[in-house]
Amino acid sequence: MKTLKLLPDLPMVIPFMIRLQHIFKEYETEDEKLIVLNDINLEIKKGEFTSIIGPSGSGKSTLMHLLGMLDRPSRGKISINDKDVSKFDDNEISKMRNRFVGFVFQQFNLIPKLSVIENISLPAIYGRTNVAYDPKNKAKELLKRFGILDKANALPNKLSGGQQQRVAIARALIMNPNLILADEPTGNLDTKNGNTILDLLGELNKKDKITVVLVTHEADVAKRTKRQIKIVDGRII
Amino acid sequence: MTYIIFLIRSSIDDFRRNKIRTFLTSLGILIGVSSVVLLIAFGLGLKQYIKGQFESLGTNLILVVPGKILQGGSLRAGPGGGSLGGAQFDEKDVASLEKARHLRSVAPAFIKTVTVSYSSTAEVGDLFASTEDIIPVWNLEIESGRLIRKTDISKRSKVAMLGPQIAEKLFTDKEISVGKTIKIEGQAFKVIGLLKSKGGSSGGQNFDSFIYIPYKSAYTFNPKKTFFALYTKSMTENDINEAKQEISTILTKRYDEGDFSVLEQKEVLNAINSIFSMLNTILVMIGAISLLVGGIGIMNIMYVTVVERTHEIGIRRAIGATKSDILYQFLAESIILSLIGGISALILSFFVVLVIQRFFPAYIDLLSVIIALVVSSFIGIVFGVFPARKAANLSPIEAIRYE
Ligand SMILES: Nc1ncnc2c1ncn2[C@@H]1O[C@H](COP(=O)(O)OP(=O)(O)O)[C@@H](O)[C@H]1O
Ligand SMILES: [Mg+2]
Repeated sequence: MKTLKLLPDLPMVIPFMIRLQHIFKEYETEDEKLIVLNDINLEIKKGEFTSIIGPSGSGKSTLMHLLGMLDRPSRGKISINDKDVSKFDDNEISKMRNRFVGFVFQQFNLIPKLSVIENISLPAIYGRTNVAYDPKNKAKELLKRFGILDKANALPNKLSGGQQQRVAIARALIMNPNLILADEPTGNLDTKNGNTILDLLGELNKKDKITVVLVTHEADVAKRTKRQIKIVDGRII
Repeated sequence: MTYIIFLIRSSIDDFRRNKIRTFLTSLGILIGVSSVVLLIAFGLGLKQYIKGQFESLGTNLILVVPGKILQGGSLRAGPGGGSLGGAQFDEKDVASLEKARHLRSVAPAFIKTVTVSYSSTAEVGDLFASTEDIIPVWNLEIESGRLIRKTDISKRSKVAMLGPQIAEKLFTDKEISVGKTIKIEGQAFKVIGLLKSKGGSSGGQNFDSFIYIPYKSAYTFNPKKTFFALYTKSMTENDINEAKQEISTILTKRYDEGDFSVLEQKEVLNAINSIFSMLNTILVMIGAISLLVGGIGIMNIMYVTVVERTHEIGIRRAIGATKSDILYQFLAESIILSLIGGISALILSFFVVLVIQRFFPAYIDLLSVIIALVVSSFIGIVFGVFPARKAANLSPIEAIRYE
């Protein structure tokens, strides 16, 4: 199996900055063109704690997927550290997602058949090139930090929603990412568990110096971040 | 390395969750690979058998049988074929062939299944009635006692030589058989000799299981006084063609040319070979069809799996799996699925061969094992690659949105 070249021309580590210029995302249906993102210009700097707020269907998730390189825009330029992302092939983009981005979803998106510890270590398996630490140990450390070490070998469906979301955050952290993208992370949780998760994300930004983008439709949640980006009908307002 | 172990472990975990599906999917491969392995096992057995025949009988053996059973080295069925119809050999033919210049020995053969008993033990055995010439023709050797002599034939002595296998069945200790009187279909025969084992020649005639008696003493069992075959040996290995020619010339004085066949060892074995090649063709066809059907089964189930796991694929892509990672994951599954079929086939074939070995020296060698594993891996790759590519080429975002 060929080892992938490690993105030689990307001085990724510091600073980590994403810039979106004139980004459009459109879907063609039979009779109409749906413009989901309409001329988005946006810059997210290293260490920022930002929320993207807007009503349901306004294009927040779509925007977040573009930031996380899970999707490509219809038009416009996305740069990471001044490198044009469209220049990278699928392989390189996958590797970048793996190294630099951690996703946290509303639906947790853990793999049901894998145990908690296996879920958390999975990105390290895809990372392949040796990381400086043992993924299983690091996974245990994170579980300990989040107070669910006793669940290490349980399957996700044996955990409460709040616990599952903490596992998802641990998975997002296993590769020491520069950016965490959380899409309505509290959407499936009660207020108490939701607050725990939000506190945790805040802590990751403050203590661990990770750039965090928080997507939400709730003003209360968005209030927790210094910077708030409002989006309506695919436009930033 | 850890990555390969990860792929194998994930696949096996998935099969554990879907045992019945895994079994059914690998069934086609199991049947296909079994056919291939058995094919090779038979082929090897046949080689062994032929070698054994040549070694134990010598290459100058010529067989004369009624009918025209061989044509251009292949077996011809139909009227006049086989030992039905055609010439009915008798003493006269033996006498005239004995005069042939190129023949060293001529042994007629009358074979009958009989009941044979000693005191209270009764067994079913094969009577082989011939002359003393059967000894050089079949290279028989004595273990104890003596061989049948010319005078035993002319005197119509009620004497018998026992193959070690039948002797063992009749006597608790086969060594004591010499000098004892046995009963063949109620008639008393004195055992004059115990033969050495010729071993190994399972299938065809089993020299070790025969009760050899003078042919004239067997006429009560053979009222028509005919023989099913005449075994002869040419003087040397080099005049085998002249000997065959001479036999034909002598016999055509009495029979039509189409009423008998003169076969050398090679041709007899060719005939056996042609039966096996028919069997082999059938096995190859079964094998090819099952492998194809099995492969399509794998492909089908893998497509289903890809759809079922679309969301999972999306999650894996989101956390950094490349297209290749997904491709390898599904390819590993189809290969392992196919290998499960292949390995089960080896185990099954092993037991089948174990049973067959009682009749025929078939065996499984290392090459069969390698071929089984290579063929099943190959099927796994060929039929797994399309579903695996479909999985790999799913758009990450579409996959993760898929519910
Ligand atoms: N693959 C797609 N095809 C067509 N329309 C889509 C697709 N993905 C998203 N959309 C539409 O884009 C709009 C924005 O979706 P989304 O980004 O999920 O909004 P939000 O996260 O703000 O609720 C919605 O109207 C949605 O139906
Ligand atoms: Mg959304």
